[in-house]
Amino acid sequence: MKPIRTEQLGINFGGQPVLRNVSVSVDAGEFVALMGANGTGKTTLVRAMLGLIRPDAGRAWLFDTPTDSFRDWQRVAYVPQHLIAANAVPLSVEEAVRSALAGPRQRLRPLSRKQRTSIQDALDRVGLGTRGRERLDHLSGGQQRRVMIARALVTGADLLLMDEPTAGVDQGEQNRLADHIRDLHRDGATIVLITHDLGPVASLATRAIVLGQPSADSVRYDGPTPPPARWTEQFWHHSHDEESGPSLLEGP
Amino acid sequence: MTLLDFDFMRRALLAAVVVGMIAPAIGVFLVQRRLALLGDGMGHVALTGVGLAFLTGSAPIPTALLVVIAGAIGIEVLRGRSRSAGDVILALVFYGGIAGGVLLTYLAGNRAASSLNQYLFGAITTVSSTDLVWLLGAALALLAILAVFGREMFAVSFDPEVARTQGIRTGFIGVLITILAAVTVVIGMRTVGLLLVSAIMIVPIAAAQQVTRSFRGTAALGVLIGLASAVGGVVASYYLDVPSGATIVLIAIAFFVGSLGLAAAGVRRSA
Repeated sequence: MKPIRTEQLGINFGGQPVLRNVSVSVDAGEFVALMGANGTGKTTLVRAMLGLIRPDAGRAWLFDTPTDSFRDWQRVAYVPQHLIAANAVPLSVEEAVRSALAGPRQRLRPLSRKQRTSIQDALDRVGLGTRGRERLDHLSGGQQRRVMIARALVTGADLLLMDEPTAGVDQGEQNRLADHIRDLHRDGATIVLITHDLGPVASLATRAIVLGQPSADSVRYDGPTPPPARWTEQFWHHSHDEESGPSLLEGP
Repeated sequence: MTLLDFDFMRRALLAAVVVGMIAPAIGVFLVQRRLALLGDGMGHVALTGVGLAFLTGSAPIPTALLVVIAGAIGIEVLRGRSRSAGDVILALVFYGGIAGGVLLTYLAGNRAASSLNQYLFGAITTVSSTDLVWLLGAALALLAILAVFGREMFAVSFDPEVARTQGIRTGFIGVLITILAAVTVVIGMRTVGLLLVSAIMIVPIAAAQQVTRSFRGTAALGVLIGLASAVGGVVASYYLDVPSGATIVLIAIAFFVGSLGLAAAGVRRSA
């Protein structure tokens, strides 16, 4: 059973192609880095894999089930690039993690002792075990990203899709996040990680999929990490062109 | 004689307790979803229901309930299908609601027009036993829905995209929150009035969030502030002979100002 599979996936925004002819599959237990310059559709591809966007062409499957009829969502955890918008009503760190357990299967069921313990365990694992009652928006950006990882941990999902979990995070925090994600992979989770560079987190990946501009087929490289230099150089130049600062792509 | 010696005041206090507790419990989701003005709009739609009740001679509360639920569903359907921006759709429904209410009330005759003020500004001392039964029934239905879907409403309010990957039907939950707000408006219209009912949903939450650290703490403190404002407003209106709706809202605003002061002084509860 393949946790993720896409077949000739194509997505357009406003008539312009964003993804073209993407056919990839991810085996159970793999750690895949999804790479590419800005505008190559990395986030769009992950959102299509999750059924958050309906493709204009092709199909996507989660655990061999078409995404639009997939129901086994407790097997999947998504860590988006954006942080939880806890700036209107206060949200505690513990509540942010607990929200991952909400769902149709949990209706009218109080959280079990095991689930309550798993919330504290998840916070302990990301080093925030004593911060559960604090306001989420009072934590630093890096700490909030660790809360997002804890949300993924508490679900017990065996497929994790993470969209740049180290964006805006300093080197020390990146190393800590890498430790947590390494633990998840070691526990058997399949991981798809969107990243701009092969920093400490992405260097854990054993396979890279590099996307290019959709003037041709989107997937330019699909193989072991690190990707060959000709793809890294192309990506590096794209990053230079489109971003304010360089995005280093180095081997692990 | 004390105010509890009067049947109408006992009914008024019971209605105040219901509204004071229910309105902030729903309002906390509106504040998080940045839909604080949705209650105002639904109040306009409820006016059409009241006008329709005047015209047909039916009971205003159940008629308004049906109209606001239809309005809530209509807003969500139009937002999903129309090319117009979401706020334009809201504006159209709200303008249509108040225009429909005024027209239907006019067609119902002079007596209806003179009763309209009770619904616009609240007249809690005129709450009948039948009104109370409807209020309690609607409030129990809201609590039951909160018990079943509350956690999903919470997840959708904070991160709808991630909520979808948890198997939550975010579109359905969005419609549900709008319907709950609409029903709350009808519950509150006899107490606070359609023009002010949104305040009792929003202001207690705005006051609570100044001094709390969590969603649950904000909801709990908001309910307490709503309860104190509603009961305090009814009691004050009895002794001071002032309008209950306006008094309730001003007390809630006083709580907000007080909590702003506490927040400025650095007080933040562990809630």
